[in-house]
Amino acid sequence: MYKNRLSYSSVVVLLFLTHLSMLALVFIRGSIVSPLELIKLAAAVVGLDVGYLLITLCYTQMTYTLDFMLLCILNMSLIFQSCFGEIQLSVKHLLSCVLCLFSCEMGFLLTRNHERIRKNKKWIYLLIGLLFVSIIFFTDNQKKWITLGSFSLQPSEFIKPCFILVCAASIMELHEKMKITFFYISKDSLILCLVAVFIFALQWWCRDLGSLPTFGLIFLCSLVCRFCYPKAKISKRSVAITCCIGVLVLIMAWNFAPDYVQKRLHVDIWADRYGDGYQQCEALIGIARGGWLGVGAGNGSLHEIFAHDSDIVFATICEEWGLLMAVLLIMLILIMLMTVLMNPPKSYYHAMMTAGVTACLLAQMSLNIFGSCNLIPFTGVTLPFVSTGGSSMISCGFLVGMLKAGQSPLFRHELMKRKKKKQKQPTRKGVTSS
Amino acid sequence: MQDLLPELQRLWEWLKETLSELWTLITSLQVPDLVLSAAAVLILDLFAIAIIFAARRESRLCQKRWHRVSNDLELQCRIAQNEYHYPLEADEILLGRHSSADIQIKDSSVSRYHAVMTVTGGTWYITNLHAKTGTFVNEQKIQQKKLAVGDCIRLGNTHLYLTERPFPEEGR
Repeated sequence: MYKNRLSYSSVVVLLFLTHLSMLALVFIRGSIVSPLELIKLAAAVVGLDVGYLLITLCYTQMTYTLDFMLLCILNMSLIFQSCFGEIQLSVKHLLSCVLCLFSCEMGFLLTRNHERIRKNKKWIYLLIGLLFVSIIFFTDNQKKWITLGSFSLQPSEFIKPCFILVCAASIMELHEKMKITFFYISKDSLILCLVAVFIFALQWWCRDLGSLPTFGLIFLCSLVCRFCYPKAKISKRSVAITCCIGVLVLIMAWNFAPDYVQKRLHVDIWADRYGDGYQQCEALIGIARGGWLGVGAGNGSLHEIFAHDSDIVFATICEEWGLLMAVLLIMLILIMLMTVLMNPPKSYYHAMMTAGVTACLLAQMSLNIFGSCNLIPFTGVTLPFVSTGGSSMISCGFLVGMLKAGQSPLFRHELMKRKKKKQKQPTRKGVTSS
Repeated sequence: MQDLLPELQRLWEWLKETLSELWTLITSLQVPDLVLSAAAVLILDLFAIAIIFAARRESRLCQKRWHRVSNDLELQCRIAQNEYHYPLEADEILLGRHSSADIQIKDSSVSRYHAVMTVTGGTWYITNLHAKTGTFVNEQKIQQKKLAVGDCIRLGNTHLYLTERPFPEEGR
């Protein structure tokens, strides 16, 4: 029995059945070279399911649906990643999934208490500063990765949850404004704007323009939350000014974008099939080859293309598992984001956090899927929870933890009860500690 | 013990034969791809539906919890013969003239961010936010005050009444 006294037996049974049916599909339709590899994969999937479900029993939460959804999606991605090209357990992706689940719990425990975040805002600013410094001074020639032996980290991925936290924390101090020339602005809003400008400049400098729309959408969400908070009416003047600034920035970015971006914006992939359009052409051919039900796990040919398991992972899944399964995977991620709407958060902080996380994941998904299908220029952004990459998985796990925190927040009286309990704890000599 | 050993060996041999026959049977089965894939997709759909139902049950539970926290109250305000009702649906509610306040009061005597209401274990508190015209509860000027049902809050020239919601939601 879970700690909110609700029964989840049907969900748990269906969760196991989902994974078992996918493993059965691998067994019957896949190209199995060694049955041992399939047994290893099945053991990893079931082990991850059972392990995480037991861990969630230890936490007091009001909602558990996000945990089930995350577990389902991660294990699906583990099965997908282990079947690209040949059926072999992807240990690296399994490790990423475990780290993702761990960071989800960390995200939940660290962000559910808005009073603590309010008090410790300076540490989040410091963390963002450190990430900036690490990008500027410690990344390699591509200005994106920090290489530590056989591991590499992408610091810009970790900026996403930090930026959302800054947006959420700053909304709590909205009323503490100071006058600067003609404008009334709170100190936190000013810091947020500076952080946003610095992030955009850094992304531009790193030539990581694929992440810019994600950060842009998070910032836009933060502005919208400020303008139209639940019962307030939208100030037309403020909205108009913001829209004008946004359009101006977009026009400038469009005109001053680097040459390779301009080229990518206007490239005809079929005319340049073996050049700049190679990945997209192969991805589209792969999607067409897969059809509705796919060619079977391990039977595809997209695994020979560069970044088949990250940038064009949607096309690789379509080829091997079929469009139906790929669309269902995306639907599951969308349902995970939509379940949050059923239980709207009850504080400024959690509402902003939920909106920011939803915007971030939606932007990333759109950029990856539409980029693979040549509906928008190819950006090279990862598909959340599915693409390989430890940094991306850890960051996505933390984001889901933040969503969970919005669903199971700590209210003031619970915090006060905790404080009282701590105060009443007897010391070793039997005297109550102060 | 010596009798048991050959029995176990016979059992092991039988088990191995049965398993190898079962393996041959499974691998020779030609289940249509469509049936298998459709079954997997159906199970995935059922999982998604079960999750949505679970989320609905959780939502009701969270609403009950929120009713216990907030005591299910609302603010009533009368402006020019119109009566406005503001349900208290967040643990911190900002009252003021500015459009980004939770409850916007269009009255020039009210400050941009005039007061903030917070809830603790079913009890609401109001705190004045350095408003020049002050915040009054039952015509007493306050800095911070615990509120009770029926209290009259005055911000500038606007009166607000803390009342119980007329039709509490089903979740209570």
